[in-house]
Amino acid sequence: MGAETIEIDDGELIRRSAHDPEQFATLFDRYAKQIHLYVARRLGTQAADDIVAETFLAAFRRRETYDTSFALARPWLYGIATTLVARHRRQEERLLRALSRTGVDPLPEALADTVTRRVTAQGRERELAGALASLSRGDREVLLLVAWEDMSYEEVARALDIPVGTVRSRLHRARKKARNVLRDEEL
Amino acid sequence: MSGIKEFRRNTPAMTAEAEAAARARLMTAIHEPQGARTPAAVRARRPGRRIMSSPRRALLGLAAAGALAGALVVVPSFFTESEQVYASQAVTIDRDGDWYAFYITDGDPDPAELEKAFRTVGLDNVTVELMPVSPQQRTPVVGFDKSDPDARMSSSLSDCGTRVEGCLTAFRVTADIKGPARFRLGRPARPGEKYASPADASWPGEALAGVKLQGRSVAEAVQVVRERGLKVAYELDWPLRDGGEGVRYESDVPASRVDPGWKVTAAETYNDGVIVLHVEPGAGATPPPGF
Repeated sequence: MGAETIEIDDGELIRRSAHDPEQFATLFDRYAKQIHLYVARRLGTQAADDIVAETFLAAFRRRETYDTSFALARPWLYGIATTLVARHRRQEERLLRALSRTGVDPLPEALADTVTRRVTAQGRERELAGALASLSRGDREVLLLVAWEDMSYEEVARALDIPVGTVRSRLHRARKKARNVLRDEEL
Repeated sequence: MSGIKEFRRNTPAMTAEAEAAARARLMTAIHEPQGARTPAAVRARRPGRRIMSSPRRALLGLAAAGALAGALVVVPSFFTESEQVYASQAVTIDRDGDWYAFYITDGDPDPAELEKAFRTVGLDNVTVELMPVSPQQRTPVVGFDKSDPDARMSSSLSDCGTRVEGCLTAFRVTADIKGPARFRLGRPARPGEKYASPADASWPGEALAGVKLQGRSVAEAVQVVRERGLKVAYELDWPLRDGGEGVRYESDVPASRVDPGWKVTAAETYNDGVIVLHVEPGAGATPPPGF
């Protein structure tokens, strides 16, 4: 493997972006799509388009606050995105409650799947939506970062800027509250 | 059967148009002149206690002298490097840009001493409360209450082990906290003392580490707990009357009211000798008044 194929870690990229701002664009290429999917699962693709753009703008402008000893900027970027998602909390809960009530997810689906999925939203999915809607915002954020993004407790703590103990207790509470739906899922 | 991990997994991916538009917005910002500012974070962080460079050292010396004289300490706002501004046996404080970083070196510090340290660097309205927590689950900050919406706390400082010898935990807060704020820091609970925030009994280091009691009968769970020389307390999780998601917890339930055949939903540590079993009442169980 040649030297040019070795990936520079995120912390180093951010450090270099001090004098060479274009380096920061690599972070966008690494994380934009996954953050988009995460946000779109919560709020729909249209809101995700805006939130992803704003996330990277905000990250770039506050890159001086990043502790470059952390090699991975993923939790940091998800943290910024989560703050932006939080502004849409009511909308998110409305969408979840609608799915829970009607079995039809108001979020736009991939075209090929639309018809099938809209008529086959099972009781389980409706239950999940209801359970997610009933959680507090903080508990829901921890649960989704762990369940959807496979983040460790430490990464979630960094993303949400909360102590690791709080991550544990929020997850514990979310599981407890939604235990009828989450059952024995490994999280 | 689909679970939480699958929920809305078929959400469409970011379109090429949306990606191009978002990237273009970022590139516009990148090419703005102010984008070329030097980030604070690029400055090298050296391990060990740092020696301050003059004239900052002189200014801090003045600040410290002011503190000794009981005067208001005005911390200069033009710090451009992470600098040590306070050190005692219990805590070392660095100023890092707009943040103060705290490195705790005493496992059971005196709150008054920490508050004094905070006041010395200008955080006059910050109080400290120590909360008993499971000695195995110690986290630096159990809670951070503040009235200033812009005040931020982060407990994810990565250089605790290298910055100060003997550092146990570290956290940082924005330096310009307005109004009162209160830190609740974890301290190891004394033998028998109730934890301020319960820990899942199956977490690493806890009394039932790796043991799953969830889903087992009360009789089985009690046997597992007692085999380890621990006592059992009960909490019943009553379903909501309106059939909605969630439960109501009835605490301090005597064993005589718990059917050995009911299912355990969770096990928590109450203190170092007692496990609280959360139990789902069986069908037909009558909730007490108010549940």
